[in-house]
Amino acid sequence: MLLKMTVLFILFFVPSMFFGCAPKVVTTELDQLFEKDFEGFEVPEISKIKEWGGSKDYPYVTFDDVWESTIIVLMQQGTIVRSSKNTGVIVTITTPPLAVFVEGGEVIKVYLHWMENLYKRLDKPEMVTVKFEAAAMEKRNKTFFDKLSTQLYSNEKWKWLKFEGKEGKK
Amino acid sequence: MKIPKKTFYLIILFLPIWVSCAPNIPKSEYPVEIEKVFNASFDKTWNAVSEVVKISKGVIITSDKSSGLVTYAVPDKESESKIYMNVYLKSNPNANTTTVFLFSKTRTGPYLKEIERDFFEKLKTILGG
Repeated sequence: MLLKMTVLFILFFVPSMFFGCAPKVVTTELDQLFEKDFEGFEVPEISKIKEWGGSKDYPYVTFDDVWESTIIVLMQQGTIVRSSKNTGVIVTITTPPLAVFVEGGEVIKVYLHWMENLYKRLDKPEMVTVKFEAAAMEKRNKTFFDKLSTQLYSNEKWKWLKFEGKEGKK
Repeated sequence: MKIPKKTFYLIILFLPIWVSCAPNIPKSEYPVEIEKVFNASFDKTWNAVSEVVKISKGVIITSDKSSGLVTYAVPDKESESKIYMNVYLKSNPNANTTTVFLFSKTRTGPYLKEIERDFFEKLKTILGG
């Protein structure tokens, strides 16, 4: 019995001490960006953000309202590493990293683009260390847009109901 | 009560892994404060936040004054990694006050220790109490 326990100890405990909690080595583009404090990180082009991700319209609110709420939601989700109100693009490092484009206009539109490309291995760029299922990404889109709606309209007293009510009275 | 041999071996096998990699979740003595209102203009508060970054030896990751957003990284002495501070300033021009939001993160998730208190106290001192 004692011999068995000793063998188990040597086989499992000792290696887990050395490898189980060992620090992660730099392997991906994201690791490299963290090492460099995101110096030189390039924001994806707006056309790419619009092309590759999900989107949602936010009526009855201004660009500033949406921009502010987007920042508050994103800073709770991860680390914001790029932000420009001028271009309307914010990049947040969460899992996976997320680029958001807030488009001004009569109705404000928010586009999401999950940057899975940052998980590309440095030694083998054709391979990624983490891959996300399409269904899971759809769920993430929905969760983000729901959070943004809550943040955005929580103080707005459901304006569209008020407008519809007024219309109804006419 | 006698533990079956197989169960006993399994416990021996997995116990070190569970114990050695368990995260240390600290207990808080204070309510978490993620936003605070300061009796100062946006510009004055923005400059004070920049001063806090300097005092804390922080590295600015991004800074966008028109949005009121600054993110900076500070070293975490205990874990030898970095803490990422998301700071957002919202101007309340009618009251001449500024609301400051702070969310601290690590590479993998929220930072669980009480860094907010220290940040807001530094900011309060710079803004003159």
